[in-house]
Amino acid sequence: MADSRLPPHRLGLIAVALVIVTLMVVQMQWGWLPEYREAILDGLWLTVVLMVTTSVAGFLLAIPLGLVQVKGPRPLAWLARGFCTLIRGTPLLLQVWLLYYGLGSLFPYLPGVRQSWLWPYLIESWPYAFAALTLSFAGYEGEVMRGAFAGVPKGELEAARSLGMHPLTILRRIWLPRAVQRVLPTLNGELVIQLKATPLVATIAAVDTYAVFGRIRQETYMVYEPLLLMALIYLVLAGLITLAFAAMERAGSRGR
Amino acid sequence: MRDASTMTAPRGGAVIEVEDLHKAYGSARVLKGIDLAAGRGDVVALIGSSGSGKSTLLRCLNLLETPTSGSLRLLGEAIPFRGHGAQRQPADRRQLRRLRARLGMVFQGFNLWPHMTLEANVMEAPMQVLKRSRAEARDEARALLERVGLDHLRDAYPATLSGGQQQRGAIARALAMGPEALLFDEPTSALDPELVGEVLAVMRDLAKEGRTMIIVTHEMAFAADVADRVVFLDQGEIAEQGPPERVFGAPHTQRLQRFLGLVSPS
Repeated sequence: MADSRLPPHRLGLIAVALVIVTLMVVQMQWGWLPEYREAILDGLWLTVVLMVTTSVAGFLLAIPLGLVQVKGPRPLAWLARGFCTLIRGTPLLLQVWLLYYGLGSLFPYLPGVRQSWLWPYLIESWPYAFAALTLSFAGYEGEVMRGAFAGVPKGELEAARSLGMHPLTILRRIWLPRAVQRVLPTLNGELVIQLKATPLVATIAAVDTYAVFGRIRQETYMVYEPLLLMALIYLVLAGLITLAFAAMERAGSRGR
Repeated sequence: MRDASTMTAPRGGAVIEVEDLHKAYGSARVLKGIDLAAGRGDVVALIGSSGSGKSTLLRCLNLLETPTSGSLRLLGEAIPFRGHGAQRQPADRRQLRRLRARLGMVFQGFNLWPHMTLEANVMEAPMQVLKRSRAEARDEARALLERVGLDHLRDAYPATLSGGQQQRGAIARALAMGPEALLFDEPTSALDPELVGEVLAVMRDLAKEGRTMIIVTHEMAFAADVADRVVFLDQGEIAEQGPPERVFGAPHTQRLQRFLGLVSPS
């Protein structure tokens, strides 16, 4: 971080953290760790991949979802608004299950699906996890992008129009960058929420970080050690997201 | 009350020709039959009180507002419309973009793009619309920024500039397209009084160069100084127009006399 000053209360917090970590290492049982190292890394990998890919894909979907609500033809705007309302108004767990148990169980009965190249993927759980998390992020960010597009001052777009720019050029060069610039501060929090939504995929048998630690608990009969380590892992991931955004905002703050 | 005797025929071909232009928002009639022509090299000042329709008229000239009825010729091309009432819009989008690229506009609120440096703001339209190379656009942008006295600020972002600097930057951005006419929409109205002069100085230079300019302004002294023709709008109509000496020195209509009395009690 750019701020290198260490005021007394921060030193105090660091000391407290050190004490807790030391107690954790000394007092608790960590003998199971080497055995599960591979599994934990695999689970961590799936968590990170799901978080990153569904955020990117969801955000890419959110751009048209937000745009048509501001500028699109009315039927499309209604459709987009309906989608965002539906996604934001229902539990993500329900969406995951609807896709996996609902849609997933329909596929085998559709003619031709079993023979298609898609079939090997459709019998796995991760495509449904990916789809559910992507649609969820798209629903939330679609609403955010709607506000961001609407919030770009009209004059900036009029200036572009007055210079003869094509509407797509205006979108690509002015409207979208300005809208994204406006959502960056909130995107940090949304990504952390997305990270914390990923454990829901463990309920459809995808083996993410959460699922791995669930297995560890069942097999070792330990409660606190696996849970604390898992908490630490999510905390570090959330911290990394926040650090990345702090760096991005510093880089982008010149423009505001 | 139209003053036909002072209507000057445009010199050297009309850049902008407007006939019987009407604009209404719902039941509010903002423009009620405007006839206006500006020839190459003309400097036309549009004056009038707030709500007289002068900004709306200017915004109709590059179709940021679509006239409710009436005809419009820009740079010699008639603008076709389709639809009626609130649905009416220019029929040929491609033509519209082509003509807008040749008509610069400067706004009251500057409207520079905050996510780009001043230089990038000036380079953007030439690169995206005229497909100039980056190097070409940069050279041109630097020359223009030097011209408006901002070469030392080319890497600055708009938010860090004063209003006067932003507006001069916005003028450079409009000039970068090599426009055949410039539309100014109250370019100094959002400026602190001490910053008005620097913007007017740039505009005065442009007028001296023989640029075609349509200027909506409240700066009467400036209008008297640079305009070839002053057009006075009142309640959506042209109430009086003529050379500045006549309009300011010997206003015919009571409406203009009242307006000038309000503006400069002398």
